[in-house]
Amino acid sequence: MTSDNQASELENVEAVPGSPKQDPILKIDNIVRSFGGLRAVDVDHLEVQRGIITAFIGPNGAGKTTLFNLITGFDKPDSGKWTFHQLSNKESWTTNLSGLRPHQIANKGMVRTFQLTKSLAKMTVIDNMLLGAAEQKGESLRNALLPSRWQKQEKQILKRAEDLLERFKLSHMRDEYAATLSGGQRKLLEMARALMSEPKLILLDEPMAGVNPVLVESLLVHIENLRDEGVSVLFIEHDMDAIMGISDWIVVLAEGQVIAEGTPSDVSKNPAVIDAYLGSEIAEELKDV
Amino acid sequence: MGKRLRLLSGFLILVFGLLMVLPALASADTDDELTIRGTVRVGREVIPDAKVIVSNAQNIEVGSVVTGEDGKWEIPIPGLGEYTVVLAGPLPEGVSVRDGASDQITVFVEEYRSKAVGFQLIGEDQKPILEIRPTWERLLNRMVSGLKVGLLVALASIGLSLIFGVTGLVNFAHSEMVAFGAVIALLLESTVGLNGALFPLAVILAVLAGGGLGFGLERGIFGPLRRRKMTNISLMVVSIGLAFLMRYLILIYHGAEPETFESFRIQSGVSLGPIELPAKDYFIIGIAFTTLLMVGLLLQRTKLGTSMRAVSDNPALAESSGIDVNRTIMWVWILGSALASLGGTMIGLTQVVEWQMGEKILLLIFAAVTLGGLGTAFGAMVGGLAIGFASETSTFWLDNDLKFLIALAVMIVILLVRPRGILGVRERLG
Amino acid sequence: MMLMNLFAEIDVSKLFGLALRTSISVQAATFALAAVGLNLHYGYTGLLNFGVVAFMAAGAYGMAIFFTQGWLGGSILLAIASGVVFAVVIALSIGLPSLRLRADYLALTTIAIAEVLRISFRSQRLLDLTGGPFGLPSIEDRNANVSFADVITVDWNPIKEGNYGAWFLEFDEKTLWVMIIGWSLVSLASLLIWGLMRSPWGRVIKAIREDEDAARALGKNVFSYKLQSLIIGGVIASFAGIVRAFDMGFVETQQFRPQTTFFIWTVLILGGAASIWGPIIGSMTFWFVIIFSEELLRQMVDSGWIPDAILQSNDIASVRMILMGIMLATLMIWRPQGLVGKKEEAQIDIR
Ligand SMILES: Nc1ncnc2c1ncn2[C@@H]1O[C@H](COP(=O)(O)OP(=O)(O)OP(=O)(O)O)[C@@H](O)[C@H]1O
Ligand SMILES: [Mg+2]
Repeated sequence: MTSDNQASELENVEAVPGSPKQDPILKIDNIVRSFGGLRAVDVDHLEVQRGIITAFIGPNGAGKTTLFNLITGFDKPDSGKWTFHQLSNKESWTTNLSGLRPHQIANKGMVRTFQLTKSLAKMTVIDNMLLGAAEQKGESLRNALLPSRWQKQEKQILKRAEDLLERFKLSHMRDEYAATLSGGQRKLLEMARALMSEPKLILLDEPMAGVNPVLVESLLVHIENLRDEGVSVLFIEHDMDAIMGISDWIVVLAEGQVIAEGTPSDVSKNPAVIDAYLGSEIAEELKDV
Repeated sequence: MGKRLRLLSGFLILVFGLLMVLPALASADTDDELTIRGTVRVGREVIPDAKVIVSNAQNIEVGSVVTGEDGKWEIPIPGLGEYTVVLAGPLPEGVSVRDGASDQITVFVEEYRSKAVGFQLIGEDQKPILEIRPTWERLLNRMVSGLKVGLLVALASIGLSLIFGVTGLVNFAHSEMVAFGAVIALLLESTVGLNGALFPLAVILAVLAGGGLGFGLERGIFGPLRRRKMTNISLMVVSIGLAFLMRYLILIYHGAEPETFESFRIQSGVSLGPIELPAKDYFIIGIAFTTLLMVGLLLQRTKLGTSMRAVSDNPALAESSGIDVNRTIMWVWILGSALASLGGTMIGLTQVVEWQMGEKILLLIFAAVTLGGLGTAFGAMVGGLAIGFASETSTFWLDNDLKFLIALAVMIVILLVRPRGILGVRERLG
Repeated sequence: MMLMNLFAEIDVSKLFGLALRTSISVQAATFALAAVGLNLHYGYTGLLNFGVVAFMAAGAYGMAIFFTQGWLGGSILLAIASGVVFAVVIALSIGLPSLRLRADYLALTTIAIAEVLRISFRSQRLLDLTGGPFGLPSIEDRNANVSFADVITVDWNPIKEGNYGAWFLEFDEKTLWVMIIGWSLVSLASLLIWGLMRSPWGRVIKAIREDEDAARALGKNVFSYKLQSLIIGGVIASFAGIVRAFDMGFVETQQFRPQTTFFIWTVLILGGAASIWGPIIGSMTFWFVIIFSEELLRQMVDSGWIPDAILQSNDIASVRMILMGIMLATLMIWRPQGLVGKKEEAQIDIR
């Protein structure tokens, strides 16, 4: 289900681990993280293409979440370097992300969600959303006590938040505490909240886990819409139907290493992938694709 | 009967054996009045007719006196505690307090023994009097007494660490178990009359009572609250409330005066090579050491110990591998509290029994446990030894009132450098 | 019959009078003020600060040392400012190294730092500066009735000498003036917190309490916000220490034992954490309950209603601490939101 011109650039990309992309938004080099004797992540080189949906798949414990943690600054790698590539008005520039702290990375335009949702339970849904917006004047102590300085911006943010809630079918919960949401709704809220900051690249850790099938459908549509609006999406998922359905590119991790990447059809034919999943249901699913 | 069990009971017998020797060490108490005394002098010359005032920690004067012909003075004090001695003078022409010294000296009277206080004075034409050189013998004695304090802090710390390990609770009320044990033993000794040859019985009963209290707290308060899914932070606040409740109940029913076990009040030192300690101290070291060995053995070699360590490591995994988690937690409370009670009676034996015992040892215990790593019993033992030893030995160089600073500084540094404790692991983020 | 007897013995007017008097006293105001500071730390930001008393001590000692040393001409306003600066320094030295710690470790660190401060103030080595165990002003000054408080309570006191009010609520001009200062500061601080917490800044602060990783993932500099919270709350608490020093006329390390921290915790939990009125209602109620029950017990003991074997009149001071302990524990279990807090915001699960 590849769409628009961005994805078409992928046709020329070789389906091998670490293959260079034509217009990468994120480049990762030699990133290693071990826990005791276990090398949870050990990736030589990886590039993520701008403007498409990239999926990370791999068996449980493959190191997907750990890799997310590393590149978003929530965990420190033993070694490694990664850079963010931005583009505006045909001008491009590179930002080094390694060594930055999580909030700095988020402010560069790379925002993540968590596998175990982190909805701010004792805040209302709308407050959760408002928090997501970046560069708020009223968030600095200097302006906090002077509403005149931030009220205008706050109104705009509020408008955007309400629109997003509408899109994610959460409007009716607007003033409820986030604690009252169901597990699936929290996933939605977390994703909507991340979108409030208008990220360039959004990293979603298992956004569909625990969400009921009806909502999954609409979630998938949201993700595709995001891509069509120009946001690059990187997401971890176990649900093979969803992955094969919407992703433009798939990166396969096993035991901390990238063992394969390619379009959905490349990957499903790749014997190394089948091997990694050997014996699991997913291996069966892959064969079916 | 397994080899381990035999070993364990061997140790148990040893501890009881040691306890049985205690009565032999009881010495008749001389009914000396507790005083602070000294001689006001500059060099060899004594200074008569100078006024000395002693006031207590609340700045209330407890007595004053004028030095005699021999420069000597002595002022009775009502009990143990902190006092400030002021040299009010007048001093002869040309005599003054040496630079860096003061005419006000704060002393801590910790034992039922007259406390000597000297002011550092110099005359016009005199060089400052050389202080008595610290000899290696004095240092050695400090270190042995540091070892004693360390062992006792270790005894008191294990429970806190184990309870944190199996439940995640930082129990602020733990140190009150120390006071509880000591007070119960004192009560049994003085009121029930378990003194002299019967004294070991008082200690044993106090330890059992401590275990019982631990059982009661887990059964009656913390177990049910845990099952109500109260968070550990909330439970920590509950334990703070409980600590105050216990501490001030002890104050009401034990009284504000520090007391000592009558049969062990004043003891002259017994020399062992260069070491000179009151006889009871050797036995306290022996009992504490043997008990710690036993606890180590219990944890390493028995089924109960293994399950304690397993629950501490990963409660869910322990549960699924057939360990009765709640029962294990219960035993941890019982064991930890009993050990704290034992520590308390031993501390009462070397120092005094008072209602503030718990408050005083609380931060030492916290320091010990953080040093060793929250949640591990062996960490608590090592940490306790280190903290007790370091703070006690430091008084050789530092003022007595600064010894707590050592412990607190160690604790702060450890928390900052290795916040997850020496043996702790980083939490996962998903 | 027995009950009638009891009522005849109890002086109801005194019972309520004393309790009411204390609930609006300077004491209550300083506890409320410190609780406002703690509320920002714990109620809103989720910082388990068990060293509130360190900030109070910093304020009081900073002010008293500066004044008694006569630095820069010994102006009282500069002295107060230096107390506040000292509190900021304490906040930075607690915060910079330890704000990254887990909640319960932060609790241990803060309680330890507060004790380090208190023991240092008490040390012989600082006798000339802090007065060691005697505190400030020196014994001689105190005997001569000279205090740093005089400028505030006498020279700058706009209220004419005399007694005001009636019944148990009669205050002399000094007490009344310090009461006015104290409660004004409480109102000011509460207003400040109210303003801050309805701003986007406050929203970030609450988010940090809920889940700091979520706040980080959204680009908020959690460490910096925590430090700001620690400093603002610390400065508010330092004013509590300063006002208290003006009320008592002296500072002493005894005033800053860890138990004072837990009194303030009880006040906050009782009133309701994460609410603007919580600290105020909490402090007034706390002192009312404490003094009421102490006085009731005292009268019952004195009239022989409670036999000596159970309680003697000199034990009654301890009852205050026991009540505090019971309140803290039971509130935490059955009413974590306190009197006026929101139930939904009350359950603490900081990690
Ligand atoms: N903090 C940690 N300490 C020790 N080991 C860890 C830690 N975090 C992750 N690991 C280990 O690293 C490996 C990779 O874990 P990770 O969570 O990244 O897997 P994953 O691919 O996200 O799996 P899943 O699909 O189940 O979410 C696992 O073996 C895990 O046990
Ligand atoms: Mg994962």
